[in-house]
Amino acid sequence: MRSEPNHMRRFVALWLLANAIMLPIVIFVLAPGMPPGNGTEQAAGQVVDNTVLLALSTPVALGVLLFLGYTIWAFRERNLDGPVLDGPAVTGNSSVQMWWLITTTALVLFLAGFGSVRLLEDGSGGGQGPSPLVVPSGKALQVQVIGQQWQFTYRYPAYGLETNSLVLPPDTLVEFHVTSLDVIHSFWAYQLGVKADANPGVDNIAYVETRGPLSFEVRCAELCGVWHGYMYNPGKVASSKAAFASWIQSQQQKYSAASKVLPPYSHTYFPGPNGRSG
Amino acid sequence: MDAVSSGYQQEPHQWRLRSLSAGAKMWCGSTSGFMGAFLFAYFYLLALDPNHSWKIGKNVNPSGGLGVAIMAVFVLSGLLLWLGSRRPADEITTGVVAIVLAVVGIALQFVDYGVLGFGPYRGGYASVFYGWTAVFTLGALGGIYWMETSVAALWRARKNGFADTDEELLRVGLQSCALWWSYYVALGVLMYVVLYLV
Amino acid sequence: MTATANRVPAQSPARQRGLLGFNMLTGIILGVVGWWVFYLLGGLIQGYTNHGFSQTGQNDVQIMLGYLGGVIGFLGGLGFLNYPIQRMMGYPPNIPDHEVEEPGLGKYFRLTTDHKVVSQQYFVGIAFFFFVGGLNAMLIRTELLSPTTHVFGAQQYLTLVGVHGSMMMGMMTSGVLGPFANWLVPLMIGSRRMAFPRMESLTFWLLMAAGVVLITTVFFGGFQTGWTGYEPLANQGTAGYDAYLGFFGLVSISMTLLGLNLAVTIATMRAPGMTWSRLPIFCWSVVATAALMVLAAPMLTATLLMGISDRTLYTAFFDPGLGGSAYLWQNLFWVFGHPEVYVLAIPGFGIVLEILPVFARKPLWGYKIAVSGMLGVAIFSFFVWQHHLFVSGMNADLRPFYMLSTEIISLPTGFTFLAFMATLWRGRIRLTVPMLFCLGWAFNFLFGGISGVFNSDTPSDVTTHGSFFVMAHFHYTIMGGLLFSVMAAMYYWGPKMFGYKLNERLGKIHFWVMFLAFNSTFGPLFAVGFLGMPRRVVTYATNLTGLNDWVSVSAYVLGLSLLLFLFNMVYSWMYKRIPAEDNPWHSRSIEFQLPTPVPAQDFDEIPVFSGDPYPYGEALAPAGAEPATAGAY
Ligand code: HEM
Ligand SMILES: [Cu+2]
Ligand SMILES: [Cu+2]
Repeated sequence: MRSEPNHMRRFVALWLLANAIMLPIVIFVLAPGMPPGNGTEQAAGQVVDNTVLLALSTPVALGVLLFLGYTIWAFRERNLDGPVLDGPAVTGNSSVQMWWLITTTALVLFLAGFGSVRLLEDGSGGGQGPSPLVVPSGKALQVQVIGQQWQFTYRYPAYGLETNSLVLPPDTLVEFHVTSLDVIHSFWAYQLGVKADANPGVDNIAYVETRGPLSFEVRCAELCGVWHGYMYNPGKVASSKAAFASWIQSQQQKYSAASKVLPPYSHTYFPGPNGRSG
Repeated sequence: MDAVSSGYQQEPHQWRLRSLSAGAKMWCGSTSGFMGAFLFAYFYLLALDPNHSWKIGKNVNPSGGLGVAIMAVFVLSGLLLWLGSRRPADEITTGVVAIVLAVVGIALQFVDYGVLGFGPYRGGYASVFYGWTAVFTLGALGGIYWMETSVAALWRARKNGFADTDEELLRVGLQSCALWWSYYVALGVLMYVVLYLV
Repeated sequence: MTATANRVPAQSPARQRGLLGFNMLTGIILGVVGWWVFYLLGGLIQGYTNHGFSQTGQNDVQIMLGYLGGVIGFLGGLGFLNYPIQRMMGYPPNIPDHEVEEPGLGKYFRLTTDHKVVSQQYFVGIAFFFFVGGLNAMLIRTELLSPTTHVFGAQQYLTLVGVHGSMMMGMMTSGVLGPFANWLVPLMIGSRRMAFPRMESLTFWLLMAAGVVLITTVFFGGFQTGWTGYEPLANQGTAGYDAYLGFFGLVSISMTLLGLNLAVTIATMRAPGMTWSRLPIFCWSVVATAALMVLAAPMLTATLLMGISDRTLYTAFFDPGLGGSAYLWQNLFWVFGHPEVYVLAIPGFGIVLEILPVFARKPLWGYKIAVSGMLGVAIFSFFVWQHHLFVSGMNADLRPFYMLSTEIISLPTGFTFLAFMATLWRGRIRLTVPMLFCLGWAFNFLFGGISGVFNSDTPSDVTTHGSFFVMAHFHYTIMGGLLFSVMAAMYYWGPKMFGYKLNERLGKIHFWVMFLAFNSTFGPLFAVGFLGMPRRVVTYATNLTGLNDWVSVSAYVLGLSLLLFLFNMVYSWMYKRIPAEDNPWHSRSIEFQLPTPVPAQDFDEIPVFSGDPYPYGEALAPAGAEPATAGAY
């Protein structure tokens, strides 16, 4: 064993080198492409999360992979037909265990703390139920999203409007109230960074702060029956507040007849509680 | 792993005994998970009260008197079996009485269904009420089967003066059954208190 | 050890051996008869059921009763009712102390109490249903070749997804404990049998009945809910959804009993000297898994009973208009469901850690930490379920807690990795086929775990939830994790179990094709999910066509690689049959000290264990030497 190299030192050097190469790639090349893009505050926040997670998992993944690769390369039995020789009878090492535990615990606690802080900052665009914990400051435009098999309908209570398309004003805090008339759907506006389940009888609130103009896709993200796959519609953040106002006006005109017979605005919609007597 | 022969061809007798009691204990765990789901459903729907439909309409209340009666019968059954299984002299008599009591409990439950003034669709409470009592009754039927086999085996063995039988195994069998049955009855008490009295 | 049994329990009377004795054939016949009898009985109460709230107006009572009758008939035909009836008449319990050799193939089609036969039944049975599920996957990928041209209707597509998911989840939960633990545990702990041998057989036949029930869904129009069966969509489902309920109902019972049986066996039937600290790590993984099964699976049974009673008794557990809640199903399903996914992961940990020392020629590094890792994962898995519901609007204030608890699970999971990596370090690594699959496991599970961190981070999950990212994540953990470890186990223990060698070269080809195809199938799906494609959709954005086509083609190759494995099994069995040696891997575990094939009674005498479970490396043993003290066998 005289000429035995210091394997651990070699491995660490290799790992450092790999990180030096991969981390810049991850941070400067991959991170800007992280979903769901920087269209809104919340979406941009998710990009930050994804970037941090990716950057932190890079050394971990590299560590494990290089370790596996190195051990296979350095400690492989090259002559499988020869005698079966054993390695050293090491059964453990308490300081390695301790350091492993400390490192992974620190990592995990950091991740959980980081995620919580990020979540509590702006709600991250996720559905928060009827009484949201995180309410971004500012005056919010309320938009109700009603899922039903198999389409979304949008209600703007401030304008007495109900329509099939979703347009939002730029640079505005939007408060989505997501609910359903039948089964569970999920309102997923990818580029907005918003996802909130639509449950019958539940008012699920999600916030998003729009930035500039943006086109986005709305898809249903919870299996809701046969035509679930076709439950999508485009939406957009208008180019200016004036454009948004004129869109509202045109919609009001278009649906003026229909909006008179609409049921009154409500956070949830149910058939009467005594739907079935007996 | 190094191993040598023990010289014993037969497995240790303890294995059988301990397997039975360990099995009964784990079965108690499974039963808790099973019943826990209904307990969860009860409090979940109560707290959430969707559409204000916890109880739809009037008179969605079972008879508290019957509830107490059913509970009493099951508790007695569990208690008797438990005590009897520790006293070889009485094990058969107490076992038979425990079985009869369990049958009476189930019968009373059906009487209760007959006089209820509401159907299962009358809200969250009614749903849990019907669902939970129904599975409890089903489980009690299983309990009756278990008690019956344990008691019957002892009865037949006793008739033959325990010739060719493993007396200890039968005893442990009855005790394991009694352990589970008393535990089940305790879960039942919890259920009846929640459903009938609260 | 003091008391050895001196009372030999009466051997069970020889069961009828003819074609129409109690065997699979009579089981099937009586199963069909039972189905019709109960189905017709159910028809009699049609009048009552039709005014109910079942939105499809069908008679679910009739169908559920039909399934019940079918299962009872099937089990009765197999002879599962004989013994209970005997017991009710007061005949004492009889459990054979050990098995006697029984020639012929008949035993494979019967209720048997030989744990090795049950395990072989499990092999074939699960492989069959796995094949069905795999075929579904191929069809799903075929449909996804194009966003616009459709091979299947939307309803058919959802049925394919649902049957694939349910079949895989239902069958693979027993995928290690059924075939491997049933075979290995009694050998490893020296018990020669399971604690409840009839129950052991029952779990198998229940699972088979379940598989058939799930397949019958196609006769009733399929179901559209996926494997999660979310209400209230489920309540719109036609009779095909009853098959889903019946399937998972049977699976959950089978799982509970399987876990209970194994847990009791390990707890009470360890041979002298087999202390807890000498228990092979595989047995520990079985303990952890079995505990999850015993505690969590009954919750699924209860949940499904609620679903069934909503459709038959007109309760309204899940009908929000009538005081029920869609959240209730989601909660109950995932309270069971998350432990369930660890039921799919922990046995894999056990397998790789059991195999690794043999091929690294070193003791298992950090035995205690590996054990505590598995137990830790099992315990924590009960406290994370709402990470599946981050955007559901339910208990949104608890999201930081569930984020933390979910991420904490990666600590005990990490212990497995630590033990894995440190065992390799400075070993004398023999890259045999089982070893390759173990390394493949590590590679895949690593990415499964890392993507799991993305899912557990709530802000990140807002995008990934319900997307193909999640799909890729759980295929990495289940298919890349569990299935790779199962393959390692197949190549490692297979020769011992089946008595013939598997072709090494074919095995290596199988590994490389499967490894590359697996990553090429599911790796890109992370990207597909990141780019915004939801799960369970029959159509998708056209810009994702290229990626999806790549995935589909890889999936076919992946499917082929599994056929290659099947080919290897059949080829090595029928054409190039080379009897396996007793100890081809120079393993020190007890099962390899027994002759191949393992005799029916396992050990002539109860063994006494001593020393470490992984005594590699102390003395540099000369080539092929058997461990010194194993000569007793
Ligand atoms: C042969 C290789 C496999 C391929 C190519 C494959 C492919 C797929 C595909 C394409 C889907 C549907 C995705 C969607 O549209 O949402 C899916 C879903 C699923 N697969 Fe697999 N799969 C394979 C093996 C497995 C295995 C081994 C398991 C588990 C043991 C598994 C478990 C599942 C589950 C649980 C679902 C979700 C079903 C649902 O959404 O309800 N798959 N798989
Ligand atoms: Cu939808
Ligand atoms: Cu989970």
